[in-house]
Amino acid sequence: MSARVRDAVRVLLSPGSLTVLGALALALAGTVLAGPFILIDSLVTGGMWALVAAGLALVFGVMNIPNFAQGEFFMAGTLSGYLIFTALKTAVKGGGAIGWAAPILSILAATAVGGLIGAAVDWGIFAPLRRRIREQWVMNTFVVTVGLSVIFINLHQLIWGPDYKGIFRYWDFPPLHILGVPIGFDRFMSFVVGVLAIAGLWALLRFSRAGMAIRAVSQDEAGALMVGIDIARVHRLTFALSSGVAALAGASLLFMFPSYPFVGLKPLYVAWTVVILAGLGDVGGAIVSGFIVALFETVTSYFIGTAWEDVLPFALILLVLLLRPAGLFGRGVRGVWEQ
Amino acid sequence: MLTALMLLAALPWIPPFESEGLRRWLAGAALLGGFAVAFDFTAGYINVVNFGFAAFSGAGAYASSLLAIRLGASPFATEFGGMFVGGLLGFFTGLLTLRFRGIYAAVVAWFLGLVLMGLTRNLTSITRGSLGLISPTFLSTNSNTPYYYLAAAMLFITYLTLRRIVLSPAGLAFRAIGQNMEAARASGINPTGYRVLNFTVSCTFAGWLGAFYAHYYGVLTPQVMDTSHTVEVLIVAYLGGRGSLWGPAVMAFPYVFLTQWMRSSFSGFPGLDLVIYGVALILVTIFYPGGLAGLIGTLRWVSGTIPPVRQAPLAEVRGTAAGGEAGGQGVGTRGGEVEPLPAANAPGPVTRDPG
Repeated sequence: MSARVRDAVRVLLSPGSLTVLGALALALAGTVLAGPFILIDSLVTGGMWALVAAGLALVFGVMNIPNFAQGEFFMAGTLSGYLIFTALKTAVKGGGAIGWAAPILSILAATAVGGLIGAAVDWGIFAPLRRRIREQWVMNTFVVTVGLSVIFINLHQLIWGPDYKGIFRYWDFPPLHILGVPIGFDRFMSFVVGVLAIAGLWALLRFSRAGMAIRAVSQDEAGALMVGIDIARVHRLTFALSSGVAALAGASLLFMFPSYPFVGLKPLYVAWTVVILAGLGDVGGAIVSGFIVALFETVTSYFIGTAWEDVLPFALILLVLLLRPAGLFGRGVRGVWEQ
Repeated sequence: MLTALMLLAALPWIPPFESEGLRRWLAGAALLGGFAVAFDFTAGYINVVNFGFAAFSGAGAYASSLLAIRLGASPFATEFGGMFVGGLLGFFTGLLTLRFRGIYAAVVAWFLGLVLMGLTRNLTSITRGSLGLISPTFLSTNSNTPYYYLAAAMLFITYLTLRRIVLSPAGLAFRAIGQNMEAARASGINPTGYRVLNFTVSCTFAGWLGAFYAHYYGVLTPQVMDTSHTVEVLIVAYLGGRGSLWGPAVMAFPYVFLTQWMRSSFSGFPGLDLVIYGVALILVTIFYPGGLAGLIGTLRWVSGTIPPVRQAPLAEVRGTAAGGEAGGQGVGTRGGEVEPLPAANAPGPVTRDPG
């Protein structure tokens, strides 16, 4: 009995659970001191950051690519969401049914576009690269993704220009009142979409054959090859999935983040922050950390000011990196950094 | 070497470059070349991409400017303060990160750079934040020519010093670590020590050249630490040719002038130059890691100017546990087999005798 209590205490005092408990306390304190919007904003952006970061973690875990261009897939999502939404709006004038259909179609189409771009990138760049080089794969792919990011940002600038392309009243419905707290319908719906997408991603990885293949490759590539898994196909699927969910997040947050060439920078920083906090390649941890980072951001910008919003999270991440390189939920101290 | 030095000295007097505006770009190119050489010293030898490079040089720039402003000292003296700060930052960053895989150091340096940039932006009482610091200039002249010679001299000193290190036994250790850290460790090299040494030296020069930036342009904003500047240096270093030092130095000149030309001739297409550079970066990384230096080496070999020199190792062990970073491809099929390297790093074919 006492052994069980000791075990429970040990689990409770592990850095991972302490972080989660601390985050819950912070959320509670913030809500009491400042108002419920702290919680709402964290949940809305948290779900989306969790998705972008899960994509980053997935690609690192399965393909060993530290993706610097993940934010650009978010940008592709905002852009295609915007283009499709405005096209639908102009095609159907004054129709009532467009209220639901336009954002849903935009998000679905943007996800597909993101996934297609991801598959194309894997087909055109990473698959040939994998056949050509073996040495220094991580550093080389990192540089390649830096190049990709430069290309995507400037293609956007070149073709669609540098101005903000945002949409007001994305989900054109009156605000909801939950327990007397007014919540904008945009925020509410992007939380719902985020939760649905996370659940979908989880179910896909957990239950489908493709998801099992992805997990197998991330655990042991040679073993997966031996049991007859098509590694190249798994890589393509993984990259498409990762960029697809990033694009989904971009299209869902269109009312908060209007599309412009550099809109991907913020999600990129956040996704890396989340992934480092969770431990590289840990998809489940990335989901939890996504919400924690979003909460931390909301609290910092409200209580300390937006100027420090860019400094404090990064400083904390630096501390985590230096003190616990394997991440807060990492099991071993010697993590993926050391290979 | 001597020819290069003479060309560097004569460049501002060769026809298209006589104008003051173009000499300004020449000075900028020499500075960028220096940055790219210092960057290549780390990226091309120990295979660590210093993704906070701009922040290290920016810290040097701020340190030197603040010293010059507060103490009223000459920028010619305070630039060494910038050098020291850059080196110190690099030393501690390296000490904390270089035990691990290169990507860890890259990510830590990146986030450290973001924190440094945020701090310079927010500590307005010291740095004036986004308003920028008016930094005292080296000279009280409006002419760009003396600045060009200063920048060229600094580029040359950077290149000579780093080349000297690279040709010493330490340079051999750097290369060994860059190619295979485990194998280097097994042959009695202390990888962490050499990597920290390399990183510190590179950041020292970054800080020094950053100080030049501050005292040349005269205005310093937190923007100098932005990741986009690191990306620019990275592009120049990779296009110039990793692990050659002189390739990145040479590449900076066409890079700067091509950028300026494209921005003025294709002003209706903003960002076109960067799209092209991004594509070039990817193509070079995948298909031609030798870059400009490798290309020139091949051309000189074909024309018979130089004998075929190979810089790549003669053979390497494939398929060991340490070589598994590619994701385990080929494990088991080529276990422990020693095979000659393809001429990926070598300029041109290596088996034939020159004609």
